[in-house]
Amino acid sequence: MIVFDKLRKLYGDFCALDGLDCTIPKGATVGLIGPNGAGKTTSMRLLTTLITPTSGDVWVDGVSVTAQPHLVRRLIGYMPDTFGVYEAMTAAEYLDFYARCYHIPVATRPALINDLLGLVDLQPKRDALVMSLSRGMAQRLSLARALLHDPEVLVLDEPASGLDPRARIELRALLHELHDQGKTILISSHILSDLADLCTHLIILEQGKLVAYDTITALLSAQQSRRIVIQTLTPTPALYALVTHFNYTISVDPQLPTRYIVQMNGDDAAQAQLLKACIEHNIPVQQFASEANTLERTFLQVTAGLK
Amino acid sequence: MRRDINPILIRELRGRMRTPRAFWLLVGFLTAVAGTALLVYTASYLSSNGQSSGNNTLGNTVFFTLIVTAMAILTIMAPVMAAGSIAGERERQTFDLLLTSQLSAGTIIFGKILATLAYCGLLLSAMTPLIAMTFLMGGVDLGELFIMYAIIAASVMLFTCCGIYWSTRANTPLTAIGFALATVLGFLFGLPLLAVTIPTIWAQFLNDTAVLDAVANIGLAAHPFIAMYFTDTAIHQQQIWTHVVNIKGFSMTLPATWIIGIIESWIISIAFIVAAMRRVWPMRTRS
Repeated sequence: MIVFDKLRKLYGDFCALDGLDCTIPKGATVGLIGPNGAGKTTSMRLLTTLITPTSGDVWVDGVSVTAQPHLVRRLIGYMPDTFGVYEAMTAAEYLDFYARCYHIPVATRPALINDLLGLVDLQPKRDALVMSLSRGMAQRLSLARALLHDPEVLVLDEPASGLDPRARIELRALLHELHDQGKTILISSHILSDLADLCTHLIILEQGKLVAYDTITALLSAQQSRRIVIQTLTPTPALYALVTHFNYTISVDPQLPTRYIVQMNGDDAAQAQLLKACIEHNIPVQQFASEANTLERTFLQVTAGLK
Repeated sequence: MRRDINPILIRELRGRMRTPRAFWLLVGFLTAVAGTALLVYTASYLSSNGQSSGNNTLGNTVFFTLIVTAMAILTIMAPVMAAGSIAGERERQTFDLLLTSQLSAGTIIFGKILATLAYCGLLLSAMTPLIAMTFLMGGVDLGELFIMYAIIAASVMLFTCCGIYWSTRANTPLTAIGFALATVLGFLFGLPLLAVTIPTIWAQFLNDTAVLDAVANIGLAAHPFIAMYFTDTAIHQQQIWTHVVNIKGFSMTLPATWIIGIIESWIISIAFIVAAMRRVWPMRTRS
């Protein structure tokens, strides 16, 4: 659906994006993560035809962003990280204005606006001034605007920034619904737990370079190390010696005399082997738990040593 | 399928007319125009000791005052309003949304220009009762009214396009307004200065500056106040459509100053529009 083809963007001597090269399949929800200045917004602005690449190209459903930007704009719904407000305009008028900008026929416009306000749960606010909407409502209205022309691709730049927990949950539910409708969604966000819940794929950028791109499942499982929490009933010095000399151990963090955090390589079998060893050494294990690999940890591991 | 009116035009007009600012601007404009005309009327009436001048001078004086005052106010208002438009979109962070829509650069620019022109048109329409009063006094005819309105329209168009151009270049409305006003005022004061100084300097080298004088006069035609003055004089000499220029004994008939001025204003306006469109175009097609 979206092909980033050796995409490069220079601002003077500064390279904002350095040869981004990957293909996003149709219907995928792709998280774009990376620290500030990694090239996330630049990638999105290139995709949405707002800036021209220095070299390379982006293809959306076979249409080149550099050769036919006007056609690409028809395929893309863009939601920037800021919600621009017009004075003295109601929510319905706001959508009507952008519907005109997308040349949506007059006859279909009122029904479409009603449907979209319903989708984003803003029907009761249709005659409220846009300026008076809360941040969460404004974000949902912005999403409705991005959906006006029924685009194939949604590009969302930090959609959850500044939202309270309830608004974030509502936005996440809405994005799940759009994913189920078959939209291809590209989201940039710093809230990795949200992305873990939403995304099927992940692009990790660092200093303008593509560090990793794969499905979330593949990226999480590719990280071999895991954290094991071992808690004993009574202080057991023998446990420290045991885990330190265990084959797969990377590090041991004795948090309390009765609690150890073990960072280890290896798979589920290695983990079972450690538990078995503990029992064989008569260690009074009260808790033996493996912490699942989180997106935060995956991101830190993937980008470790790049700075 | 019914074609939509330019969405930018509709939004600009709707947004502008819903704020109290639009009402107060209209009130301020009419007060300034009517107040100046009243002062001139009173001064003219008192200087003639309450006697009718007999040649309809009073009506013509009041009419000319109304037109020149309106032009002076619009000379400031048009570029200020236009300069705030695109830069305002940038400041409100709504500009990217317009660029990623299906609107062309031309639609965005023309929408902004038409919105400013429409509001200026509203101001001019609102002073119709004042203009009508000068007809009652006499000394003014419809042709003169049409010509003066045509000069105002062309100049407002020129100053609006100048404002739009600077609006596409600046990131904040304040910067755009500053540059637009500097350009307009530079044009209004600089053009006559050049028209006077260049032939004077030229005369140091050549005895005959007739050609240069003629060129200077043609150049000055784009200046609305000078064009109004020349036109008012020409109309009273019954030279509405043409005027004669004598260069080294040769007589040459040229279009009237107001026609040349309108053509010049249109040409400069088009140049500003093209430059503004090139600035707005988000991504030029690379084939």
